[in-house]
Amino acid sequence: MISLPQTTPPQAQESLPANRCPFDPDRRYEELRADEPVPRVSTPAGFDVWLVTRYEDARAVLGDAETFSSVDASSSHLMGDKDNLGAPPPPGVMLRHDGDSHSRLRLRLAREFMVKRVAKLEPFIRRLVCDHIDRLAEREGPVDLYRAFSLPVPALVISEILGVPEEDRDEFERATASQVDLSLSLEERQAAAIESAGFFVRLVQSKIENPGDDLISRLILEHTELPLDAAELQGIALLLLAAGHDTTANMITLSTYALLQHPEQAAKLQDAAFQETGVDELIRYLTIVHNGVLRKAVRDTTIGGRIIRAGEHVAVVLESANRDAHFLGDADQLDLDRKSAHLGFGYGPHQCLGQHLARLELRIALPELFRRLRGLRVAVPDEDIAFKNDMVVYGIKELMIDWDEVVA
Amino acid sequence: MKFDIELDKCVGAGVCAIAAPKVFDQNDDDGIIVVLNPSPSPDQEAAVRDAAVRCPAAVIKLTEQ
Repeated sequence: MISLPQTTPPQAQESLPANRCPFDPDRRYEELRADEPVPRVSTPAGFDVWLVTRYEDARAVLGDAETFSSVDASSSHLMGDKDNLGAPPPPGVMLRHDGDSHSRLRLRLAREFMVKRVAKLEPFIRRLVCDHIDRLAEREGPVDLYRAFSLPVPALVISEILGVPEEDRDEFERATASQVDLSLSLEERQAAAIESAGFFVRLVQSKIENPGDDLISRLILEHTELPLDAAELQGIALLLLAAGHDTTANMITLSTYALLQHPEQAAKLQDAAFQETGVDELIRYLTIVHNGVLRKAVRDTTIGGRIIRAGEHVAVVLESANRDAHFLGDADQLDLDRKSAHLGFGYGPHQCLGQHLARLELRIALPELFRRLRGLRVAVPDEDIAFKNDMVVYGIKELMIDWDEVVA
Repeated sequence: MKFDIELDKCVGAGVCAIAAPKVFDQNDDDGIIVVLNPSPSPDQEAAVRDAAVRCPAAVIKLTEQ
């Protein structure tokens, strides 16, 4: 192997581009992809990273988990504590585990989220969607779509999967909604996070004592050489909730707004083609997991012509990669009929575990919202809509909607 | 069309099962790839190619076009 001369990476001259507008990535990405595809930038967490902006380079980094560790994944550059970089990953939180430690967790959960398993949830999801639209019908608009529909539906789906008892679901939903409610203070949100952490400790304990037919109980009852301990089970439950619930909620809200802005695309929602390709195109076009997915090089390598040294961090900008013209012609257009190998769910061994569940939820929720809420519209001027530029997952903070009538 | 499968790289993402459902499925025990049809017919070739490019762990390698 050729050994490369050691150098200190240059001090970043630019900050992480994070001004979306409103569906497009920050405007600087187009130039970066053309002229400087792997720039050095400063981040909100106070350390510099290499940004990966092109589609091919994004696949190269995320697909090579032996060179690029997930130990600081996936958002330490956005909200992490820079003094804690490289700390051992918390038990069960598989998105920060590498190699065998990751596979052990991932393969035990993959079967729970595989295509045919998820398909069995369709009647349950359909009923939830129907009930929540019925509840909208009982109210006078305008209503915040995010709080009234987008958040509770995925929260109730994941609580069904995890086996949260019926009588605890309201508490579960309130605690989880509070964590992402920006109208609450940071302290209030942290208190909600602690409350829900306590909730998972109690949930796992109750499944150990009294297992049922749910994901956590199956993990407990499974006979295996390396059983999962309680801390791992709590980590898994927390991660599944955090990764699988607000993401889908943001996709429902942001997709609704995007489709209202693109009526020619919204007209395709009831077609079979939407079921086939439309959801993935929305996921590509909107790429809500934005501002970079963090990896750490464990050996010297080269990406996009740039030498990356062992120990340096790389942030893969999915929203930029998904708009790369070398990957897809007319990438800035929304076209629900097209199929692509987009990176909206990430790429590599850590690609979204719950992707088939997310697809199913969106495939049911979006056509039903547009079909049943006749005259669906946004009830505030566009300039009053607040977007989540500052958050790890992109979306709309509150989307006030109104409608003419609700049909059956 | 022929392809090889690198089973030990599979993470059970199941992208192959939606890209080419007549050719690939997932094992009930751990969600990893199951080949339903090792010699896909010409009308399945585009789907297999799609599965190969979308597989996040690059498990499917086309060996013969």
